[in-house]
Amino acid sequence: MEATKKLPVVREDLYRFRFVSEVSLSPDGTKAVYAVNRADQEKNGYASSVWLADLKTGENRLLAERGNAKNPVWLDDSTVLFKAERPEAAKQASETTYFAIPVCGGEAQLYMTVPEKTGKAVRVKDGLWLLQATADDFKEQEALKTKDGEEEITAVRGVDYEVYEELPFWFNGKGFRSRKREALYLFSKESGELKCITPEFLDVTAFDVSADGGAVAFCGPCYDSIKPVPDALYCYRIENGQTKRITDGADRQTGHVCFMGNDRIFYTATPFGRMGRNPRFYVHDLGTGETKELPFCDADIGNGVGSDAKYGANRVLAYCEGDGLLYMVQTAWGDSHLMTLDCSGSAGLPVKKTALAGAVAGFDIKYPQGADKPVIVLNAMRGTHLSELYLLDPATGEERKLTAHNDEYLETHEISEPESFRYAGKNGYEMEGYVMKPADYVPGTKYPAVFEIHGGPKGVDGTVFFHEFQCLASAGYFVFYGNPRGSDGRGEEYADITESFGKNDVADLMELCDETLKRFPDIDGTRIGICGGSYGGFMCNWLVGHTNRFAAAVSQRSISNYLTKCLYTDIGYYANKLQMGAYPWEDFDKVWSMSPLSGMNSARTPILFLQSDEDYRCYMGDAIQMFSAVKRLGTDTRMILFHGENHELSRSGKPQNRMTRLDELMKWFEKYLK
Amino acid sequence: METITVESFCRFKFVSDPGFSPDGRQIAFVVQEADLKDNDYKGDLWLYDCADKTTRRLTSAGDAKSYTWTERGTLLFPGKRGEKTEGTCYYEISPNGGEAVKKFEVPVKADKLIAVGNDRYLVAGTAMLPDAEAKDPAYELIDEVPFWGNGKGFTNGSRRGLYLYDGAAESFERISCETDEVGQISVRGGKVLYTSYPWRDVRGLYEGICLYDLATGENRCLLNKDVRRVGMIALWEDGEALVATCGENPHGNGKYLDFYTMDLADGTLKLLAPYDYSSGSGSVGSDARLGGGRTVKAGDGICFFVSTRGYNTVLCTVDKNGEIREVFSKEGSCDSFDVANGHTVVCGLYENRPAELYLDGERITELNPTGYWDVSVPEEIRLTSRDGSGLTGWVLKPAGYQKGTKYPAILHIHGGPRTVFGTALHHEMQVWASAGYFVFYTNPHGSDGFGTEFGDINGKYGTIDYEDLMDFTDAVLKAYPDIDKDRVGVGGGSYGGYMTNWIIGHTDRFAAAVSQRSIANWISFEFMSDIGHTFTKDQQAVSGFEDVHKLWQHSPMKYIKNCKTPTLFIHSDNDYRCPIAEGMEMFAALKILGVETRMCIFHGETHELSRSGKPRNRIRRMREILDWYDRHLKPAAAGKEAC
Repeated sequence: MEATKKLPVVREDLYRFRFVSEVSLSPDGTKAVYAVNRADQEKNGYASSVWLADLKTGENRLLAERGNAKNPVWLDDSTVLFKAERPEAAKQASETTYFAIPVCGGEAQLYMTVPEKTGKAVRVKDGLWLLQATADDFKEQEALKTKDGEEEITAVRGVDYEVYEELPFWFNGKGFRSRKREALYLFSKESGELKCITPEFLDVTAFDVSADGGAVAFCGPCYDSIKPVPDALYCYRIENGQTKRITDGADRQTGHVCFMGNDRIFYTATPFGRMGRNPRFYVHDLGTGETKELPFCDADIGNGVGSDAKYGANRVLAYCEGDGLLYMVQTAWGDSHLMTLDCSGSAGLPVKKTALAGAVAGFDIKYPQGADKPVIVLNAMRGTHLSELYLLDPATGEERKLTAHNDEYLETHEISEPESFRYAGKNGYEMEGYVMKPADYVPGTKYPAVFEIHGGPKGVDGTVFFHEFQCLASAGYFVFYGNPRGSDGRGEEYADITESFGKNDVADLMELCDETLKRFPDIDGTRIGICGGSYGGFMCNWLVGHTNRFAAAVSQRSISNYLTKCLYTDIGYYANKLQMGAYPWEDFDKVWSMSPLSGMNSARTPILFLQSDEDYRCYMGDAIQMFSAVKRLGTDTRMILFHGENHELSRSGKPQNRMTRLDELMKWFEKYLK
Repeated sequence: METITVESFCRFKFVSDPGFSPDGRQIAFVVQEADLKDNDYKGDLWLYDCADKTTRRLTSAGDAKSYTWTERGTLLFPGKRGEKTEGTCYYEISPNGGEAVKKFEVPVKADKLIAVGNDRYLVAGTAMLPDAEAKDPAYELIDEVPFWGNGKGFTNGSRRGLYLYDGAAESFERISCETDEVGQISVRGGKVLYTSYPWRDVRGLYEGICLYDLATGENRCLLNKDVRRVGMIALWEDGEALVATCGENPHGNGKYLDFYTMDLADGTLKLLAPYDYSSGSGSVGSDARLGGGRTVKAGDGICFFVSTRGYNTVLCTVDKNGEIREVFSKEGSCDSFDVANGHTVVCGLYENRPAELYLDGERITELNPTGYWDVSVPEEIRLTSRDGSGLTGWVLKPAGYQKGTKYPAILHIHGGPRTVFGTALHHEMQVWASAGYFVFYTNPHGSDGFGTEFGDINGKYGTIDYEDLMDFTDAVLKAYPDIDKDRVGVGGGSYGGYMTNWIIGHTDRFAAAVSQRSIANWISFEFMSDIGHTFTKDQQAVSGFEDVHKLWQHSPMKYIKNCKTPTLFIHSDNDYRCPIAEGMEMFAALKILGVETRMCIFHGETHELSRSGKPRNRIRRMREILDWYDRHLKPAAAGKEAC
């Protein structure tokens, strides 16, 4: 075959990517349904569809597409339920419609219509479904105020104005939150009755249904003024509608909840008081009322590997009745793996089941009757691939690729493969760095570079496909990055940078930069740009005020002033307080000294700010303050303020805005690094 | 008589902008009115006939909120009558009959039109810089400071330029330079004098002055920017202009401007008369007015201007000899005026009523019927400030006041701080009086009207101004023993919101507070407000680049841990003067500290919510305030439905 020149990765490739999510195995373990999401150029949004993979034949088939089909679950071995918006089905915009489709052929039929905006339907029993929706206490209050049906011309709350009565008063991606809660509802398909089962003022953060459908475990904080960090775990009995509180809600934040059969609940809970803490694992026995704490494995559950090339939700924790093991995704170094945990008797630590580098975004597991091992399907990012499904052999760790939604793209494009290297850090830890070489790299030639700094700070970057990084490499930059202290994947002590923002983390990053330059002498040290979002944006703002070694900066959804950030953002009142160790009125100097704005007199690095005006995690006030200061100092700067976007712009923003974002970012580096 | 309620302003007729016709026989003016159904204000042109003393309405589409007399004796006004335009359409209407007809359209957002003869018009309007990047509705490009402006939205890359529209040639040309931000305009004898600030990147402080010759098209700069602070300008002779300016600024920008003459040949400035009050603008606070109008007019060697002297805004003149005279001194506020042929027409707030027109001192309109509203008349109270200067304040008694009964009360604090409260009708203060509150207010140090020395709190925020307000409260409580001292609330907007935030961190004497469009933290304010980059240093004596500790010292947030006062915060999300961040910082701090609080945020409103916000939002705002005060100051009424 004739070798053809591969195409560079460009921003528009976003429209070619297919993002796999929500894999779900049929009860008999022979088939998997999953969602495929894509950026839709025409609609300037995202489109999803439901696909079926036959594990035996390897055949993949589109099941449903129209009306953004998503959230597939199995009704039985031959029928799949999914959520979609179809004009012929929904009578009102506030309704949610679910459809059932036979997997062996034929179109979907309306299965049920729920009178609220609900998410994924979770089966409790035949005809009984558990659904999550936003409960709005205010809506009811307001309805009461209308006197005798008399229509009064008046300003409308939620339209003309908002009222804040609580902290947080808004939440990133959810808008104004005062008096709103995530609640759980039981929906009876037969009667059409929708019944809220969670207490008023409880904000559900996680839930699970017992194997027999007899109970629902859920957790979340309950509050009517300030949302607390500690919360409690509850168990609701379907038969009598009684809710029992399981944990005391004193000092822990519940993370994950998973029934182990019918009588035991596995849950994670994180102690508060320091940054970066990992959760403790517990098993609660509903029969005896006893709770057992499992050995501390010093890792959370979930895929912490960063990428801007993923979309959709995934299962990261499941209990397998067949082998009695818990299966979970955990992050280590720059990778995430599927792990198993034996909670019986002398419970040990999680055991790694996957061998490959990359990220396991999610999985599903079934142990068919009579089988000798479970069937496990991973949704994973392997090598330079975007997310695809893989069949994992739990015995050997071997993976067989089941889907190929992005193969053609990857075959025709020049993908830069990240190389990793390790070194002994001055901080006493073994450290890891990653470098991507520029496209058409010619050794001995000097290249500019972009130093990427991830958010969190408790996130990680690894080797997985990252669109922005690939665009930069294709455009002729070295791209390098690492996971400084504060990052995930190395245990909670490593992740703890409480009250040392701009100190330990900066030392690690500067060392990483030095180590990278040492190993890759073709990087032109005078043409390095820095780039990061959220905490990475904090770091960009910090660095421009404290060093002139970088030639340009792109600061996204950033933090500049903890005096304000800790008060006007959704998590500021507890998270930033914890990070800084004080509120502004308690210790001005402490908070100010960790704020990038305090370095404003020295900010000489040309800096681009990318910010969204509905980002309530890192509110635009911070980017604006930094921009104004830098601008007044006479440093070249520019800000793009996206309307209607939030903290997730780079990952799930409107495609056209993601184009603008990448375009601005690339142009800024082009201007100063080339 | 009608009780004043939160909705009453919807029945006010807001009169503004009187202007004599070229022959002096008629006076045009604008009447605006809230339209609750459309949730906006409708404005129409009206005429007063000086001969037969009749008043009639001229336009009826509700879109005429300003106008210009032409030399033909017709009226031009910018209208919105169905055209889809990025620019501005002007309609012409004759006072002698017939509907308005579209006259011309200009491709800028015009805010001022001046007829200069021969069907030529000067137009001041906003447009993007010629080299600005194309706007995309999906995002804002920000690369200037300031990049937004209160009431103007995102202004990045746009400038208010001065243009000449020639009706005969149908040409439209920019007179001012490309990057000029044009301020005031004065026209006489074929010459146009205007102030402007040409800028890119970061806007500085002091405008320059340019002279444009309509005949030759020559444009000359008579004063460079950033040389000296310039205020009112007036071409009062063919070769000379009057300029309000000052050389040195011992009080930052707080010094009132002196009168100078400017030689138009070379721009030479000569001191004509020192002056220690505002010139060309008034600051008597009220939420019972709407609309603009003329505040400066040059005659031959004389200039008429409004000026806030004491707690009234009066009409003054300054002449070639440097003599300054008050020519219309009625107690209240002269908001706008016109003079012609020895006659003076004033639009103002007098006699405890909404604005009406006064011709040579006699009221000539009665759009708001006399005696219609049951107004609580302000009673004056005087005291001495700790530095020996006099303070004047007022007390409104509650409706149906009965001596010997205890009443709750509200201290209301004005914004600015360089503005005044006087006796002009103030709707919301009347609402509170109607609802059974004593209401009291004064003009602490920093206020307008009492000279530079008194008005200067540069670097002193929260000190002598705070003391004045506390002393005034003591004096009112002493003079009005029927006020229940345990049921006194405090509130205010802008600087008044700042001071409310300051007060709740310094004293527990108030039982409730309502802080509006406030300032919490001068550091965040400096780098977010549209005026932060100049106002902060001007008011606090330092910028954040110089001394953040000084800024923090004067920030209410520093003291907030002392706060116990239940406080309501009201803010608008398009308030770019005092960005909403300031209110949210306060709200969150009080929540964290366990102090009862609530915040009400109005979408799409600006710093002007209380004065020109959408009618429904104004009603909601006042209900929120009244409800808050009722809940905390009238415990007996607790549980009663709010509205």
